[in-house]
Amino acid sequence: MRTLLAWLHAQHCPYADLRTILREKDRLEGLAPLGIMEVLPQLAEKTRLALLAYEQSKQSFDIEQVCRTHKSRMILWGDCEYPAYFYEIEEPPPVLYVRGQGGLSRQAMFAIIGSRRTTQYGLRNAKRIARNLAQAGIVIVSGLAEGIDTAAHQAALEAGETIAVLGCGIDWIYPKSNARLYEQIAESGLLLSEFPFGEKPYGYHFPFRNRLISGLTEGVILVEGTNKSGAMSTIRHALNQGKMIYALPGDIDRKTSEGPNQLIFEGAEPLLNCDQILDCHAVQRRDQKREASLELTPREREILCLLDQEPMGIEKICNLSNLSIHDIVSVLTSLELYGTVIRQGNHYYRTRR
Amino acid sequence: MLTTIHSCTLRGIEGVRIRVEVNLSNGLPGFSIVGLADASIKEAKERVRICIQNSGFPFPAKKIVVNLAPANLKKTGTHFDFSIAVGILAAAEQLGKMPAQTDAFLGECSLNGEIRGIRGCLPMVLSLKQSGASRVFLSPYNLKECAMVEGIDLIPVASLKEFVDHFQNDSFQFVHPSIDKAEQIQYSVLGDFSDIQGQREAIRAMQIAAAGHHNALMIGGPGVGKTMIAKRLPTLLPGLSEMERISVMKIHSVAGLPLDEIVKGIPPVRMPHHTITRAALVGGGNRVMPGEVSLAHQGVLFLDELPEFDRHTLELLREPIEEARIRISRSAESIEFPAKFILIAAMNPCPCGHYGSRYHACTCSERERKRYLERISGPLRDRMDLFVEMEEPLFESSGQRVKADSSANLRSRVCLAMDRQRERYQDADFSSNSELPSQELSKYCQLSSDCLRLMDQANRRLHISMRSMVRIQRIARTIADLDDESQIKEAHLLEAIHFKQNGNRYWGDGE
Repeated sequence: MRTLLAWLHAQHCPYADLRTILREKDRLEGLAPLGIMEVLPQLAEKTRLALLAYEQSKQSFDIEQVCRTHKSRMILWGDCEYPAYFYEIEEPPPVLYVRGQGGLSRQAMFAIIGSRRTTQYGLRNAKRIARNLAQAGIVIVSGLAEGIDTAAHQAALEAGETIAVLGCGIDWIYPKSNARLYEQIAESGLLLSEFPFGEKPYGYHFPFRNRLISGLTEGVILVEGTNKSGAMSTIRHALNQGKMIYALPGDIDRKTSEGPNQLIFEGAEPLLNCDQILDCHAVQRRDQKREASLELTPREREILCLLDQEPMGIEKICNLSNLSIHDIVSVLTSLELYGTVIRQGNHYYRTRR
Repeated sequence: MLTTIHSCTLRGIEGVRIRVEVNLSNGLPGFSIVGLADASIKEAKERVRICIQNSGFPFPAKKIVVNLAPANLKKTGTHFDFSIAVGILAAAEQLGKMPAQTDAFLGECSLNGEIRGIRGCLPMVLSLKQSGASRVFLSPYNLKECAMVEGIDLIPVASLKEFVDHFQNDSFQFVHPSIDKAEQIQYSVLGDFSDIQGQREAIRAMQIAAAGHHNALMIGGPGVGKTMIAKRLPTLLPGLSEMERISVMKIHSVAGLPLDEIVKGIPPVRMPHHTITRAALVGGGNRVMPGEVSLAHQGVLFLDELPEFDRHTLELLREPIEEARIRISRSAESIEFPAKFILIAAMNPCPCGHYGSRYHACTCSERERKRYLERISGPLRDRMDLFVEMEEPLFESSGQRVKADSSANLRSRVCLAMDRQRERYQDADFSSNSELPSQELSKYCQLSSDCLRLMDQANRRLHISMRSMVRIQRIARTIADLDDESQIKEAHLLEAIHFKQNGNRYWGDGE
């Protein structure tokens, strides 16, 4: 039965038909394709043809074998591992392929989404949010695209668990630039796809798969994106599915913050602090290691005071302090080694714990 | 009647003494040149014939054969004209006396009888001196570049007629140009670092680069001052010494470039455009010529818009950076040019140039930006020591306008650091920190236990590779030299980590 479903899925039969077969699977057990067609006369023409074709080629089609080669496993609609939330979304996928150590557990999940075109501001905050939530035991879901998705996955991998929902077959690495991240997630996170093996990353897959990103989660966090970006399609799905929507406020004249700001205007919750999510969803927090308080030299303290006011570049620190350029450079590197400041682009930031 | 006249030809940037044998015999009048001469020498027939006639001498109606010996060496250039003309006149017994074996001739004949200047005169005079010549007759145009060569008489001759008139009685009249050796270098023509507003981090990097001969890469949007800073780097270098000056002038003389600034001791700055071909960058060509890396010898090679250069062309820089010389190998010969330069490169942060800018929105996608960065290969990045990301200058209220240190101030520190290096490496076969071999690091760059702990911490925290660590130690050594410290301190190491780490961070290495 599983092989038959995998076959029909690979032939792109309508999801509705596959779900019908799954619903009636007890009655259909052991029946030949003609028998199935008799029991279920409502099946579409495409499904009927695929059923007949299956009879001829079932010798050469071994889904279990394919799964093994790609270190993946198949989850069917109705299996106990099938994510509960998926029963509530539109067009629930009848077949899912997953790869990786992580499970689709009943742990709280949040999606962090955003556009591929990003700014330092977006990347920095995507990482920060992902890290904080993952540390607290929340699974971070995103789409393995470049930009915000990559940042969120990476930070989540370092601190906890992450799930990538793909827009192509699970044996495709897309985008190629994320090959290493793909391997890392396969190693310690989870890759999930509703598309059959070998399915290419066609453009129309992505808005469709976006319903799974929002569908898996308790809520969606939009970090950056213009009004027209793909991330907004995930938000529309999330709204239909009744999920919480958080948006990271950004400069109003920045194109990439257009989407989040618009959402806030329309009533989404502005994400100012990760505690908003953690408090609201009563997630158990893991103990965060406190770094030993450091002995700071007067120069280090002077520069930290400046960075407390606002993030700034070396030139500005140089203007505002009386230190020479070589002192500033070495003090900043030393603070960076302590982990007290981080550098993003041209600017140094005080890290917040 | 056979005469032998001495001249010279170029092989790379070295001269090779050539004997020009001229034979006049009876027979059908004719004129031929043998001895692997190329087209520019074959054409000498016409130039020499008319030059002799227009100078008022009869051209002998004999069978003339000119042989350039050694005859198996390929020869090129127009500088044989003068010696051929003199040879013909001597063989025709129109000179009154024979030129001595220690006389040599370099110059091109013009149709009106003048002796013109030639390319590569200095290396040829130097090698003539070595091979025992005591007098060189040359064009007045070449006199100045050769004036610093001592121990050989340089006699400027403006025309063939002047030569013949004075040769018999040795009555040449000329003023030997004085060489202003001790003259203070006029750096002002190059500008001054105090012209630059802000960008102190980049200027500091330039100071370190100058002091230890480190390579540097500046990353910044259009108009932040990358080119302005690079152009001023030579003002941080002490003037060229006598030896350095001659070696640089030899190269520039072969390339036929003006030598005025180098004569004054100003280190060369070369700024090739990014459309440069491989041969033009490292040397080569049909007649093997020094490339930009050699023209920048003892000076600065500035590559603006680094990612726009052809990738394969850039890879050729690896050998000269490592070896301070470049070898051009051909099936028939292999020629070596010196190429010890400070490489300063500049690039935009992304194709549109506005990534990370406060004032402009960047229109590049992440992928476009990555691809742009990837054009600079890892091995080339490894060979860069100092990386600086430059921001747009801050437009603070005019009262706060901060000026950078003047070049003279910065230079005094650089000279100090260079003196320290010269003293430290006097027994070694290298002279600057950047050349310090990694196996000798422990000998010259002892790290205190505090510094070792810091290195260890940096290694864990910033994931710095061992190769980068070696580079960092060399940079730290230079920074300590700038500080006049014999021991590397933690602050020096931290600063070195900063400048190297800037690059790793930018390319996402070690993360």
